[in-house]
Amino acid sequence: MNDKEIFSKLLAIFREVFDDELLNITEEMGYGDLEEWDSLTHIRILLSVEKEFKFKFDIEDIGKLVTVGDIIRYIKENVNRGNES
Amino acid sequence: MKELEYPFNSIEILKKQKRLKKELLKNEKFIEKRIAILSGSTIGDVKSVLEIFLLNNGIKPVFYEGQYNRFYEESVFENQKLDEFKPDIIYIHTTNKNISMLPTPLMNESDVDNLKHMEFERFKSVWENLFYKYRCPIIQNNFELMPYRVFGNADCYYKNAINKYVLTLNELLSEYALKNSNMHICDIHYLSAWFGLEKWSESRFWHLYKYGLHMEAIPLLAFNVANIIKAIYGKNQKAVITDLDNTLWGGIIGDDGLENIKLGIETPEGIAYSELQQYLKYLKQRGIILCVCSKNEDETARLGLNSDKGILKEDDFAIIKANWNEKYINISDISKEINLLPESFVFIDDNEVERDSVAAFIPGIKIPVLEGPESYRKILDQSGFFESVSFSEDDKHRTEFYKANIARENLRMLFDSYDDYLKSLEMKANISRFSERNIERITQLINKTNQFNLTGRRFTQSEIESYIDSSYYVTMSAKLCDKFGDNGIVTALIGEISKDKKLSIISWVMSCRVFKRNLEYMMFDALIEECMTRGIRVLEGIYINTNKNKSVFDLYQKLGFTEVESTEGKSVWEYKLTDKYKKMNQVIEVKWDE
Repeated sequence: MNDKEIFSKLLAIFREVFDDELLNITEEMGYGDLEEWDSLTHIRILLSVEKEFKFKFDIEDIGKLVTVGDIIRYIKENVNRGNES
Repeated sequence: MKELEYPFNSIEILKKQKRLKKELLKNEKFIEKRIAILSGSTIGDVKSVLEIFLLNNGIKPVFYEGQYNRFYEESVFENQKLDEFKPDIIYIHTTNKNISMLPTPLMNESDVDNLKHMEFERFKSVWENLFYKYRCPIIQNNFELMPYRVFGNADCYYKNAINKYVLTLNELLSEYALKNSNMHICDIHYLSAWFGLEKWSESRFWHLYKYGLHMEAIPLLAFNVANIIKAIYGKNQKAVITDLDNTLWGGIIGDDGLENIKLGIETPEGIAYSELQQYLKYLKQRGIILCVCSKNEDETARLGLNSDKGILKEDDFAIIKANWNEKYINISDISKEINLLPESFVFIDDNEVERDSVAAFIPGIKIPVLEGPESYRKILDQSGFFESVSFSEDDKHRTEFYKANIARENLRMLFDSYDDYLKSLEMKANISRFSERNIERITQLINKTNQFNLTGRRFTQSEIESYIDSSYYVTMSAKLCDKFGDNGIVTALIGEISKDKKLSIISWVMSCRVFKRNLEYMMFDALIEECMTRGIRVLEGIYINTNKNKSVFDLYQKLGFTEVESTEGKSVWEYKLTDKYKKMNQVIEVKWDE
């Protein structure tokens, strides 16, 4: 999966979670930047990412995922690990 | 909404909940309910997904969200916030993580018994405080099994084993619920097994977010809680209309012949159809009405229904419509004949074209998508149509009630005058005040009745109990028998007496089984009699339009009331009692029970 595909899949998740078809995301954007990006929404995003890219976040890493860029980097490193439950 | 019907996609619901909520809010009218969720672990999406499932059932919730893991304190100690909230329903979202102490292998039997006793008393004090303060239904999760077994398989029977302990606590919860009709168990012991205990208990959701269950299990949990709430407010389904060929048996009886339909233990396919028939038979025995709607010759259909291979028999069905009419025509006839609203029906049919056509013409009817006979029972069962919140002796005989009604209808056709027909029924009514003996059936009647329901108001059993023998309330219910059988308790009325001795009718319901039998006149005669004895001279009748009770909008006018107030959706009526009151009922023989 290339970077572009990863980005567009992640964008689709954000748009669905925030129910905003026009939403755009940037790498710098982080947890708290959007009005409705609260802790519950953050968990929903991470769960959707796991399902979409078919891997699981390591429990120690989750706290470090605060920006879109963090999530993208994590996806790139793990997307081919294939440890889906 | 399709996305919220079984089998739903949990991740999609969690992810798209904002959009789903927005779309549902565009829909129909809602009843508003105040729901307090008390926390044993993170509530979070349990609340938001519960909201979606409730909206999907026409219930708009207002929530009180308890603080994290404070269910005990918020129930037992003074809680002004919850007092002010005035809950209609309280949901206690606890899991096995809220069992305060678990047995250890070092304990002996009496230690474990003490522990069990203490734990149960702790939960009991939560419920009793809540019942005392709020008099509303409580939904309590029971406990799921543990994701580990210290004694291996023996964990299910050693007295000091943890899983055995969980099962024992669940048994105590069940016994309590059985004795308290306002207590409902959300069976997460079953749900976790159904979902898969290994996944349900995945620890990271607990370690990271303090969720008591896997997030993907939240929709299943919320769906079940919503179904219980839906049933508490009488919004669950009451009848199944089933197709025959390839739905109740395999093959087409008209083409293949009776010998060749697939049903019974000889073929794998036949077993699947038998399983569905057995399941429908159980539903019938607990009070769900069964009807047939099939494109067949009537004779052929009945031949199939009386097959030795079948579990269901012709007799199990209240109505059989086997003809070549469009199905929506038959279904709308069935709806009229047994007097239930379309949304009370579930229609099952293997044919997608038939399902779509019925869906298009009969809005509100529930039509699960059937895929392969081996999944029919599962789909019907898991869709949550028939959640039960009470079960009375009456339920066992429900089909007979409906059938007797159809026999009455046939008799009516023979008479030119409706009054002559009513007289020929030889009706006898027994009127009684509410009492411990009939309270369960009366609560069920008041909360399940939609059409003849003047105010649409729902009551909890404890509310109704508080009216028994109260000098501020008049309560009346009546049983009706005729030559076709006993209908049981079919009507109930609650009047509230104000300081100036005016009686206001706050609830009046009548089962649709006994419409147009002059029973309302008999009840009014009895109410007048009661008012005379109590020195009440003015009656107030209230009609609140719930969209389902339009047939009684002019009831008070018919009874001789005068309209004193009228706004959109509500009218208030007044009746001044005089000594010259003339009885309105001439066809029912009346007796007061003491």
